[in-house]
Amino acid sequence: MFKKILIANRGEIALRIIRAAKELSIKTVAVYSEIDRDSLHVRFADESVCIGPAAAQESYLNIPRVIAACEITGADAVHPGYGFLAENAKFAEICEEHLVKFIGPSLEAIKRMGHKAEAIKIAKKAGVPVIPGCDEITSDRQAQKVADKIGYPVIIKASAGGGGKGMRIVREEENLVPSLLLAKREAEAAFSNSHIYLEKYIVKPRHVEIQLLADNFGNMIHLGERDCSIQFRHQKLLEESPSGAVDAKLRKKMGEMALKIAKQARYTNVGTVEFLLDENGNFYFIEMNTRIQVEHPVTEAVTGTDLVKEQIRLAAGEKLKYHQKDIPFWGHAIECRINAVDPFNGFSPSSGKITHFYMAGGPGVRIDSYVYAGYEVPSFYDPLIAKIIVHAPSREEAISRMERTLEECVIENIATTIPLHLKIMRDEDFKQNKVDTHFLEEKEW
Amino acid sequence: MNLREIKELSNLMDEKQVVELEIEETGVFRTKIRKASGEIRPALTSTSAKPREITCEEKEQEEKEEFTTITSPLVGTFFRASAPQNPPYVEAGDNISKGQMLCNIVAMKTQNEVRSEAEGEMVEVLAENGHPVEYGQGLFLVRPFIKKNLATENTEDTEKIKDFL
Repeated sequence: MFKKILIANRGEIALRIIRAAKELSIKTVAVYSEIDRDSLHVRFADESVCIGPAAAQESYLNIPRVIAACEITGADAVHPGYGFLAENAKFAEICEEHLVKFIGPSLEAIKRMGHKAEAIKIAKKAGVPVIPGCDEITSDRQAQKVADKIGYPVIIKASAGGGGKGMRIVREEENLVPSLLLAKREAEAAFSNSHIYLEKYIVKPRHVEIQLLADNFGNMIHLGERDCSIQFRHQKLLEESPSGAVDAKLRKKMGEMALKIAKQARYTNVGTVEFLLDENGNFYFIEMNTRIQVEHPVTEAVTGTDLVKEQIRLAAGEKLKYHQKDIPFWGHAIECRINAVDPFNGFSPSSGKITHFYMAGGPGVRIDSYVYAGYEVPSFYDPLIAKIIVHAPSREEAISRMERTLEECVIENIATTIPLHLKIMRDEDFKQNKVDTHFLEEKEW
Repeated sequence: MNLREIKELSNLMDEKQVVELEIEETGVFRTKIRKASGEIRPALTSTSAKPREITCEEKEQEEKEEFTTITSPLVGTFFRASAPQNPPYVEAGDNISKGQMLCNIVAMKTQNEVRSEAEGEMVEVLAENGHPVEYGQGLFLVRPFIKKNLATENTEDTEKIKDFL
């Protein structure tokens, strides 16, 4: 087992890792930027090393400084958390070269599943459904053939694009050819590249992901799903488990598919396979996240596991102690991400000093936060300041518990997403589980 | 001379603003009464009229303003010389120039040179040879060569002196 873990991260996840390490009697090293000197992870760790000025490029993303910090403290393992260097294959490689164990998937697994196109190839090879379509539209005729094959509605996307530009939804066959022309023109104007491709358009999709755990000996299990449909600009805001659209049968099917992909990729440690689920119970592979995720507590609640501790154990070479049949799925868990942003003003960031801070408590409530009264929220990093997770016997009770919890919490002098989450908890559609990835944008709050 | 007499004398001294008194009755006694120095006449010194206690912090601040700290630009192990058997690049008391080699910081098996940005006198080596240093940690204290205009240095005190004149 490791003697000392260096946490190459900050904020709430750094605290999370320190807590797991402490429970395993492993010493911890925090690295921090100058502006994070008073951050809680620095105080909680056994040792700390300042690695640079505020800018992430000069500190948390600075590989030589992070490795040097391992050297001078004698750390024998590094936990990269999420974001920053967590999925950086180069960093994982350098850790290996310097005999510091990277707590996460193997270098090969990160490389293989890190590239979206590569991951889709692996999924296809594993026999897992991906979103049907074609890589490039060469002619109107070819497009029509593809569209007929995959079925309407379809979506035309720009190959060089993003941000919703050069995207057109086509619901009827007769609109296809004119839409192709318009999409080509838009793509040319926005990206100077008129190449377009076609995909099946998933109506009212849910974002459903499967959590996996794998040891270094080929043993793997899934820990059920998380529904992360409530998003704003593709950023997750709220996650829950189980998903309202997934029953035991579908869970088994999706879990098996996720494991097939992981086996094909010879995956190790933690990972999450993301799917889009349509209203008819069809699911399609999107991508795989080769790291511990923000919303992992939701799975920990319903399965009674400690995923970060498991990460450390698996990285240290221990065998996976669970069998698939050992994993229970009990009750319902919801996580609300509390970000330092103004949700009713375009989610603009709100930095500044927190003057009052009181977190809720009581049964089935878990708070993962790194801020405190008197703390100055910096503007340089991710605005996530707290995660509120509730667990209750049913979804109805979980919603009521989350509403109660959000009302109790006090965070003053900065704007947060708490009022938005309260609105969600009180929303009829949410209560009836009428949720998909367009939920928030359609609400126009 | 008894205590009462001494007390009387002491009060008289106060009245007449006498600081020191020596009495001798040959062969009988000899006594010297000295008062703690008070503000009988304001002294024209460079400190202000009311004796002000300069706190430790202020003294440090005064000192700090004179100095520049050269801090570590990286994380690593601090070495004062190019090799263990060689003499250190700099010692306290040396004059250092811009671009002068000060130390090596070893990280990831690479020696990184740290050169001076300041010109001045090396006052103190703050980090220990062979010990780890973090980003921003103080390595050297330098008194930069800056010309000071002493006449106008302390304007507050100059004003107070004017009052007496």
